[in-house]
Amino acid sequence: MDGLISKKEILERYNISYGTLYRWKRMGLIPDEWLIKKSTFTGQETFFNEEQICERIEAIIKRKDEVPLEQIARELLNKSKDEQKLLIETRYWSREVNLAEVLKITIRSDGGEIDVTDSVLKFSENREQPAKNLGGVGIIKIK
Amino acid sequence: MGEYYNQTLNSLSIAGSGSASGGEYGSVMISGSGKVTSDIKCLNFKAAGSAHVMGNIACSEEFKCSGSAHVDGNITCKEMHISGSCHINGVEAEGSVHISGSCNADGNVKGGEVKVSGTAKCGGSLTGETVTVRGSATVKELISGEVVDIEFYDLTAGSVGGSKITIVPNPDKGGKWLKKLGMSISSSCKTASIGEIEGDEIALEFVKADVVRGSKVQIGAGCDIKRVEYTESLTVDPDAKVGESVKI
Repeated sequence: MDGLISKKEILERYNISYGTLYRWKRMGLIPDEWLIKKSTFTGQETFFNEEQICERIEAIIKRKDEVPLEQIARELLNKSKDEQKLLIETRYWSREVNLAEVLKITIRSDGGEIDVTDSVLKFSENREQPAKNLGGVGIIKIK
Repeated sequence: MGEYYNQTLNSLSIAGSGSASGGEYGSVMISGSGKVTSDIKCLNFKAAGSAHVMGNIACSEEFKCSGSAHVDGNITCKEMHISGSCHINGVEAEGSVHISGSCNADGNVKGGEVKVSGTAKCGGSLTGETVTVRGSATVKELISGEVVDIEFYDLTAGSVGGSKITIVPNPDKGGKWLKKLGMSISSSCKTASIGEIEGDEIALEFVKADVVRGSKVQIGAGCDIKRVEYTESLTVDPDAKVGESVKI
């Protein structure tokens, strides 16, 4: 598949077990959102962006014998926070900014202004939070 | 009676009926009917009565519910014990999560050692270093652990993944007596319903699954599996149904 690699192929390529892969997933080394479920002739299978997952697995394998996995996970999580983007989509346009550069996010209406900076930035700390629909404004996502 | 605020220890205790604002406290004890109106940060949180927290709870030590607790947000803590009834968004515990009562989580339940001897319901995933179930669990997404050890009364899960996975019916559900009489337990057993099971060593009984993938796979009595993919070994009980099996 274009740019995608199956979980099975990953296990075979890097000679890692299901147990190891699930362990890395639980530790946040492989983010949940990287998993892509697709239907194949064998049923539902899980795929990854090949470049993304291979880079990650090679980084883990390179360092796991020297550094605890928890430390690798912390470093990767901090790095991914720096690279997070705030994406605002409306009916007419979309805009992407680096999350690290955001100073303030405000909702303005006839009644005044509401500072929602903290609420939105909390999404970046909790990957399980879904995109927030703001009604007429559109959708705010952290990616 | 209402709320008692101990200025010295900065703890919060609601013994009657009352509400308190969120904030930072030492110990929080709700033995009556109490409401906390926003996020709370504390050492320990105990709900022996009926508690409603309209926000997140961050406990540096223990979250304990022996009564009834409704937490609108997420709980982070070192240890979690639920012997009563709890409705939360999600929990992340550094250490153990023990559910001997009932826990309904809209999101994820994550701990070091996760033990369910009562009933757990997750809208997200149930994960831990070890996940032990001796009761009932309904997990929409994934049950995952290094060791997943399930003896179920009732079990539904989107998927199960880990290193060593055992999923069998709880013998206490009449089954062990039938076994002692030399009778089949099939008539007394519910079947677990799981989408996908992936692991290194897998042993299943009375499990219905779409696909099972593993190194060493044992499909035991009462199973109905559409597809098995294995790399090292596969054993299938005569009293099990496997649609197709493939050695990878």
